[in-house]
Amino acid sequence: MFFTGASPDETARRAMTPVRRTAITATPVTWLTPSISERVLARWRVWAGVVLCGYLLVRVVALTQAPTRWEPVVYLRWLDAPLPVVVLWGLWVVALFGSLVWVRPVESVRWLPVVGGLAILVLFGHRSSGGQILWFDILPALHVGALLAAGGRFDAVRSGWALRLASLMTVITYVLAGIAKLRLGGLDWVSDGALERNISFSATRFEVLGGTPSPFATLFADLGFLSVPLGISVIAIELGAPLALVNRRIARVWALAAWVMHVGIAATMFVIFHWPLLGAAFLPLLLIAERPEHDAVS
Amino acid sequence: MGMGRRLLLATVSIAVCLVLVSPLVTGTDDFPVSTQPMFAVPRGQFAEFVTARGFDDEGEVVDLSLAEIGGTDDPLIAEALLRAARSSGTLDRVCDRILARSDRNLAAVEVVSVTHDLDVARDEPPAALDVLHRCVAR
Repeated sequence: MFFTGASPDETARRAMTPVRRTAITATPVTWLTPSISERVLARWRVWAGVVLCGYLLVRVVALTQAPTRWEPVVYLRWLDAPLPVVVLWGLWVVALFGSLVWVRPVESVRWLPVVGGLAILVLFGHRSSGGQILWFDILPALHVGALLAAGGRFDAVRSGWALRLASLMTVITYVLAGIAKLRLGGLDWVSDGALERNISFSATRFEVLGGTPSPFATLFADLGFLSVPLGISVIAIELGAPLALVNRRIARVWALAAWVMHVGIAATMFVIFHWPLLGAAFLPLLLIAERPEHDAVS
Repeated sequence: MGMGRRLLLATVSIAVCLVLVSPLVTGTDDFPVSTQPMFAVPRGQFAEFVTARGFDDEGEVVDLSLAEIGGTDDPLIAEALLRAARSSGTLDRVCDRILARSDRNLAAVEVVSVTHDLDVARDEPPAALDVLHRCVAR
C-alpha cells in the first residue's frame, strides 16, 4: 500500500488476485518476484537434482581429491589448507543425498537438501581452489545458491523469485563471457582463424599433456572457413542472452542456440559444460517464460 | 504476499546481480563471481605448453598420461599445476611427484616446455623444446 497508494479494499482485492504480469514490461518488483506455482520450481529443482547427482557420481574422484596447490576461492579463504580427504568424502556423501532429496523430497529430512546444497558449494569451491578456477562449475554453484535461497518451504512468490533470479544468473554469466572475449581479444577473437586456433590450442594441450583430443578438432581445422561465422555466432549468442528474458519464444530460440554452441565446444574441444548441455542452465529461463496463467497461483 | 516482502526479495535479486557483474569493474576472476574468461584470449600462431615426459632404462622416451602428469583427468588443471610450479620454482617437487605417481618403472622424468605451431598438423614435431627440469629414479 505504501508503494501503490491503494486503498485497503483495493489492497485486499489485489492480494487475492493472481499475479499474471510476469512479462518484462511488468513493474520491476513484480517482474523480479512473479508468482508461480511451486510445481514449476519443482520441475527445475528435480532436474537440477538429477544433473547434480550424475555429476557428483561421474566426478567423484576429482571432487574428493585434495589439490596439491591451495589458492582458496573467495568463500573458502578461511581454510588455510585443503580439507582432509575424509572430510571431502563426507561432503560428497551429503551432497549426493541432498541432491537425491531434491529429486524426490522426503518430509522427514527437509534439512537435507539445504545441507546437501551447502556441501555442493564447498566441494565445487574446493575443486576450484587448486590454482585453476573451473568456470563450468560456476553456473551450477550459482543455481544451487538460488535453490537454497528459495528455502525448503516454497510459496508462490518465493518460487517465482528464485526462478527469476536463476534465469538472471544464467543470462549474466553468458553476457560476461561475451564481454570477456571482446575485452581480451577484441575483434581479433572473430578474425580469420581465431576460433580454429582456439580449438587447435585445446587439442594440442590435450595431446602434449597425455590426453586424447577430439577427432572433430582435426575436422574443424579442415573447415577453417567456418571460423569467422562461428566466432561471430558465439559472441552474438553470449551478448544476446538478455533477449531470452523478453518472452518464451525468444527464450526457446536462445536456449537452443546456446545449447548447440555447447555441443560444438564439447565435440571439438572435449570441454563439457554439463549444466547447459543437460539443460539445467536454461530451464529457469524456459519455465519462467511460460504463459503465467497456466501456473499462476491465486 | 505483502509488497514489502516482494520489495525485499527484489532488492536481494538486484544485489546479487550487481555482485555478479562487479568483475566488469574489479576485473577479479574468482569463484563463483568471475569475469568468465574461458576461451576469451585469442591464440597466436605459436603456443607454449609445460608438460612432462618419461624415460625408460634404455633412455627411450615414454609418453606419460594425463593422470601421471597432473594426477587429474582435466588438462586445464594439469596445465595450471605445471605453470604454477614453474613460476614458483618448484618443478623439482612436481617432477618427483610424477615419477612417484607412474607405475611404469621410469628411470627418469623431464619437465619440458614445448612450443607448437597451431597452424600446422598436430602430428608435426614441436617448433621448440626446452628441458626445464630432470629428475631420476633412486
